[in-house]
Amino acid sequence: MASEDATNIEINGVFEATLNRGEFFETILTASSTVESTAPVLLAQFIQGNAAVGPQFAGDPAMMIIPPREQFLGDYTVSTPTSGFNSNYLNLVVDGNGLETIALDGLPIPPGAFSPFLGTNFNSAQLEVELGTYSLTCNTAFGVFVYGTNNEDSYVYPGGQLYSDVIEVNDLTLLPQTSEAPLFTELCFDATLSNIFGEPLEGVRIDFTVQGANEVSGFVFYRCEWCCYYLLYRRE
Amino acid sequence: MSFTDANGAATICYTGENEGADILTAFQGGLSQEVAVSWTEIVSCSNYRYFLADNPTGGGNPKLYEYTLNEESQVAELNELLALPYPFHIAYDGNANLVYIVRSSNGNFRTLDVSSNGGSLSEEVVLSETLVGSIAAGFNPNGVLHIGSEANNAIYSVNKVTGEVEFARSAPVHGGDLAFSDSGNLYLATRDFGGRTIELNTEGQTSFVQNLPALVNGFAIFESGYGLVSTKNRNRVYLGDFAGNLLSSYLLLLDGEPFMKGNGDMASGGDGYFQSRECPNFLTDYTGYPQNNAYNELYGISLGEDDSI
Repeated sequence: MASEDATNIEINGVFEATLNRGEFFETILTASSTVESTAPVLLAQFIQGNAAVGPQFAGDPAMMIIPPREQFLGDYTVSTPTSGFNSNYLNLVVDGNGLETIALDGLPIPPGAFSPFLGTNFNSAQLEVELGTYSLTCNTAFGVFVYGTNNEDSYVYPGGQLYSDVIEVNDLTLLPQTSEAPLFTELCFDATLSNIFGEPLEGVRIDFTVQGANEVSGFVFYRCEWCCYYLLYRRE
Repeated sequence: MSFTDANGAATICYTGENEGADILTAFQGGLSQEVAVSWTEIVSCSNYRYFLADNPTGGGNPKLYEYTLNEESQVAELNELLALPYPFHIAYDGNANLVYIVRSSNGNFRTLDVSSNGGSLSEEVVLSETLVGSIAAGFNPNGVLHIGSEANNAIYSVNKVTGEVEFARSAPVHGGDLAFSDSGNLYLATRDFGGRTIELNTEGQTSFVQNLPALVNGFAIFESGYGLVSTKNRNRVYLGDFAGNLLSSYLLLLDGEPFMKGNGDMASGGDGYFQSRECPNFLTDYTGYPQNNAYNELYGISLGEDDSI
């Protein structure tokens, strides 16, 4: 569903629709897919019920809101219902930098469990799990979606979401701009985020990658406890 | 790699384990920023030397020793350089081959030339103010002597020619030692907190480096960039990394006999800095272009301690 007029929608890199504010586009997907838009949209995913799919599928319909990748987190604790569901799954979305470190209850998930999204750096996996509670971690931000079915019953929900104003980010700075140091010492860099007014933005995630002689990746949340006061001052 | 969501910034820190260039990129949505990072191998410069000042607790004159480290036998072989009738602590300027001998009672200092044709002891330089309890000293590669006063819990920079004293910063100088890494980072070994090394940065902040024995009294940079530690009433010096790991220890030997260290401290240094792969003898050349049509001339320039050329 579009929040602005003239919003273009692409699915797997293919143009699908132009929407005005409040309009929605609906389609059936049969594989992991990417959805991109030229303005903020609300994206929901449905499980079709057995009346629509046929007797090979036992479950009922269900719906969840899909967070944008900018609002993925780095660790999640998720749970299935305690009983009543025979099939339970964790769907995972992780970028290539996180494939080696994503773990379920502390145990690495083999990279071979993932399939790439064509044309992107993202990968997806579907893990069938028993009823229970699960911890998922990774050194990069990733997405988790939990769902399960039983006879004419279903549930589905996103494992978590970062609620920050990612759409307001207008400027990103990283300092110092160059650095040199002896081996086996530590260097630190500060990143800051601001909106179009130059105001800092609280709680937005910043991803980092290092490529070259040393290769690492990770993320951190931009935190500024005085942001609220600053914004009040600016806007008054 | 570590991350800190400190107030007002998102900070990423990481340690270079491979020599070469990196590109660090920060991403948010469609925005990205890059910085170039270069990691340089730490290399040992020639003539890296280690010194130990010992102020005996059981009587006898305080003495200055130079020692060599034998990695295979795990022995630190001491060679006596001089004895003085008062307790002192030391710092070493590796580029000038000068050991600064700082009188513990007031901070006044002399230098001992330890170059191959050296051996001369300078006249005492009197400080512009008395620094009682001068029990720590270090020589910054930028050429400035630093003295830590246990009585004042403070570190002072000292003009090595005039003895002019300037307050540098407060610090828990307690029984330990000062040492500068060759890239200029300042470390203080202190008996506070049960014995530990802290780094004193230029913004007046401190950061924990490693725990040390409670009676630490000497700290010197090892030539690979690690730290050497001596303690009162022990006959060993200890080599550790800056992550709290003991790498090895060396038995102090003087004339073939184990040597028990009293009070005092340590110093070390090479004749070049660790900031690049090269350990050059710095030369400065000057080309003169005379205006009278004479031949151009090339001069070598040397800088004297009094800023003469």
